[in-house]
Amino acid sequence: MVSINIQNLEKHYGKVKALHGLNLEIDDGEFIVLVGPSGCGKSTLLRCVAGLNPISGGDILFDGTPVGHLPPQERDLSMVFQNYALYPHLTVAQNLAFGLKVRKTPAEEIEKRVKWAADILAITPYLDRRPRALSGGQRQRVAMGRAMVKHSNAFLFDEPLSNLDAQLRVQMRKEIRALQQRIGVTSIYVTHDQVEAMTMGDRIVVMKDGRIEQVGTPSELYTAPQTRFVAGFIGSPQMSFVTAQADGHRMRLSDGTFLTSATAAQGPVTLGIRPEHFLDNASEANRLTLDVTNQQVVGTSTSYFATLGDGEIEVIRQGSDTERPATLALGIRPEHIMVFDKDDHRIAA
Amino acid sequence: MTASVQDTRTDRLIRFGFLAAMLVFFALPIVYLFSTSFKTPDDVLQGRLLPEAATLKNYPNAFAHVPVLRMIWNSVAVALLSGAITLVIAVPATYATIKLGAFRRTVPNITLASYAAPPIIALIPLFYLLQTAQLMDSIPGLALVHGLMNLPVAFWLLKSFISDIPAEIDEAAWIDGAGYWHTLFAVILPLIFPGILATALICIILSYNEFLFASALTFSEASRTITVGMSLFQGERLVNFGQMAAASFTGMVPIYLIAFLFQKHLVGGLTQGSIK
Repeated sequence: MVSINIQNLEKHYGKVKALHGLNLEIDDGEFIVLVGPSGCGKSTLLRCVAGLNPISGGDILFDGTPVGHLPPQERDLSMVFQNYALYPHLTVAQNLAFGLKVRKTPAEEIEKRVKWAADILAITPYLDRRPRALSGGQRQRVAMGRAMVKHSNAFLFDEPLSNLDAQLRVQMRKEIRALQQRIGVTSIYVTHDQVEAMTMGDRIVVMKDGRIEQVGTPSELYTAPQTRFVAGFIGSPQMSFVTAQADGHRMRLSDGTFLTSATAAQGPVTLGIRPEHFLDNASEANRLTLDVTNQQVVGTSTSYFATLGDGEIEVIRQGSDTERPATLALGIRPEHIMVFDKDDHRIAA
Repeated sequence: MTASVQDTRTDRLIRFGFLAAMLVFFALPIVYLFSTSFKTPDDVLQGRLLPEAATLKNYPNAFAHVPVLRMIWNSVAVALLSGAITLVIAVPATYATIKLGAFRRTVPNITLASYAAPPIIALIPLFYLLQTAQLMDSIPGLALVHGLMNLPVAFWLLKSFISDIPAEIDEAAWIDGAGYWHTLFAVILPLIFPGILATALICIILSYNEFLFASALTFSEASRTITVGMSLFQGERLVNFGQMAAASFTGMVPIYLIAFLFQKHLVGGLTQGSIK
């Protein structure tokens, strides 16, 4: 297990810059999640750490030792791929043992480690099967096992759950996290699913256009996003945005509505409100009566869509409300209204 | 219901008729060759499909006139050796080009261009090269030429098999610590084995049937192949078609046997990549 230090990392594909001088420190044993939309560079960053993509500038250090120039074979890492990448011609046991055999590990040690991983992952009954005879979840476990047996420097996960159905994904999420905590191995996990990121990561790295937008714990990213992009990306359902003219704490929307924010600003701003922050209690500082345009019942909660100023906002309330109300009387606390400047940076309260 | 049964019958009849016509088209030359191998010279001149008075003499006479069995053996040896040479070079080269990106843009074009060029332009350089290497008029010499000549075919056939292996399989092996050769031998080769077999068969058949280089680069009984042997039945004034047919038919047997036994792999190799 190592600490990973990414220093000014650049990756170019011809004239196209995929990574723009990234800096990131990952502590020994930390579970860090790289999240962002498609094409943001998260997989490229992971592949650079793995040595599968040669880097164009900067360096990567494992426990202070530069490894940016080393091929993947010499970085002593484990990786779980999106499509599992199990060796189709080998049995589960042979798949698990492959990396150990390459490293010329003694046969008894290989047997011991394969048994250990198979027991933890509950794949012992399948050790003699070929990957094609396994279900998606079982293949996922074998891929995890292949990573585990090596006792490597770090685990790299490249969207490992995206091929599984929703139910299995939730289960595997918990299992992977529990395993990582049990083994205590430094892990980098790539996903485009912010729920996965929020539930698994010690810290989350939000990426956009080959740059790191923000690094923080799930709670920091939720409560104190530094940019509008992070605010919109983290949280489910997404934060709603409306533009406004700020005059100190008073924000005037385009339809003439005034909102009071705990944040003071001047001039054109964007206001961000999380759907779950609307309150039924209309005695709050900000009282709103919204015309409901649409409604979605999601099990135990209901999402309402309404127009506010120049934007459409989402309001989430507990209970499954099958009849659509014409209007909603709501309140919103000033500290729950985030204010972003014209460059989409959040203005601190 | 009746109409659909009728349709099915008509369909079947059309299909049967078409297949029968194709079978006749492809089998007729072989049947004619087989029949000619039992004809007397007079019968051959009559041009009939079946001999009037069948004779078995063409076979012993052909074998006495030209060392047919020795030449078949030479052809088999050259074909097998050249197939091995082709694969030893083509498999790692195709892997390096397709998976490791070595000369990815140039190699496919160069191989295609070299195969499209008329082979006769390489004859004189190859003649001198083999002479210098003291491989002229030898089975290893001709096998080397055939082995190199078939590289483009092997590259294009193997390319589709290797491309079909997801990149993550190689990458998983590298992450597991396997070097590029180790990955090729322990992971890729077992996965593309049917493709290697198909490629080998096609290269062996191409080498077995090759005439131009075989006729120019071999001239002794010890190295001449059966395709060259066929041409020896052509006398100055007349061609002994009966004996030639007997030798040809005997020469066909090994390659047809191979094609028949490995039919499934051959078809798989030739249609690889055409259907996803």
